[in-house]
Amino acid sequence: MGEIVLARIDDRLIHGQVMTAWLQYSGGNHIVIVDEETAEDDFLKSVISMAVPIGIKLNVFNDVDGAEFLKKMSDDDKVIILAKVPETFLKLIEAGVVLKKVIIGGMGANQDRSKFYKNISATENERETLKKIISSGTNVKIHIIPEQKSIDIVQLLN
Amino acid sequence: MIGVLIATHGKMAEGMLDSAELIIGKQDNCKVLSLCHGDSIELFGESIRKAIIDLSQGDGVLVFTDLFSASPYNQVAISYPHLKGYKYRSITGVNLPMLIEALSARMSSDELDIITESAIKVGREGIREFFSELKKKKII
Repeated sequence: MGEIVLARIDDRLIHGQVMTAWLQYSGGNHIVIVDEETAEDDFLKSVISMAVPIGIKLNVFNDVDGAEFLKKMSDDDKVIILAKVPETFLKLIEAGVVLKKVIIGGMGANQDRSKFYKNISATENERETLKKIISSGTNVKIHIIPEQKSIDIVQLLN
Repeated sequence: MIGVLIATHGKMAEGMLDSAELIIGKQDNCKVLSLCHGDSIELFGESIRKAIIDLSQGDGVLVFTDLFSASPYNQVAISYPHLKGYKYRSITGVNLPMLIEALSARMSSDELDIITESAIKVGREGIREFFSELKKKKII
């Protein structure tokens, strides 16, 4: 059975050197993006695939197909899961994917979100979703770049 | 006149335009966009599309970003389906030699493809190392 080495929430999904750093840190060899909008957009997929280093596999799924895929990874897979929003990870967990930890890497400000921690913002709904992820037994931490320490979010949600 | 957009991580874009203007003077039809910590990536993408449209005066727009496959470049890339009908080129790995070349060349030419190629060429050629240069000249 393969292994999920990183599960990360980031609006930007794959982006340049940030991804290179996380690949090195986690030892991942297979990036799985779970995002419906991206999965349905061939052009977007081809732009994203340009950002993936040589030798690293990439799949893009909606949440249903993503959950199926993640439940039967091949043995040598070290998977990095990327999604834009917390909701996606809650759906994966509810569909039976076991996640020890989810990290928040990038949730930028917009008109619906308010400041959550430093440069991380979240809507009320997203906060509720994060609480549900935590109560399902998955750790949730803010961890922007590997070199920085991670921040537990339990206190931030109260 | 060909428009120029510089979009980067942090304030590099502003800084590059500031440096270029110090050398070749104040520039028209030029915009800079900085992606800073905590900014929404969707809004940044919208700003890029708006800037390209605003800078389009018929001759096209040259867009410069800092890193291949990083967010500013990616936002320009994924804007393509929204910008059909606009004439623009997107160069990444911006440096001052290429920026100055593009800003200067657009004063005498409206050929976007030619300026794009010359900016890339000058950008590449602008990367030099002192001791290698001395060796080339057989000074050491």
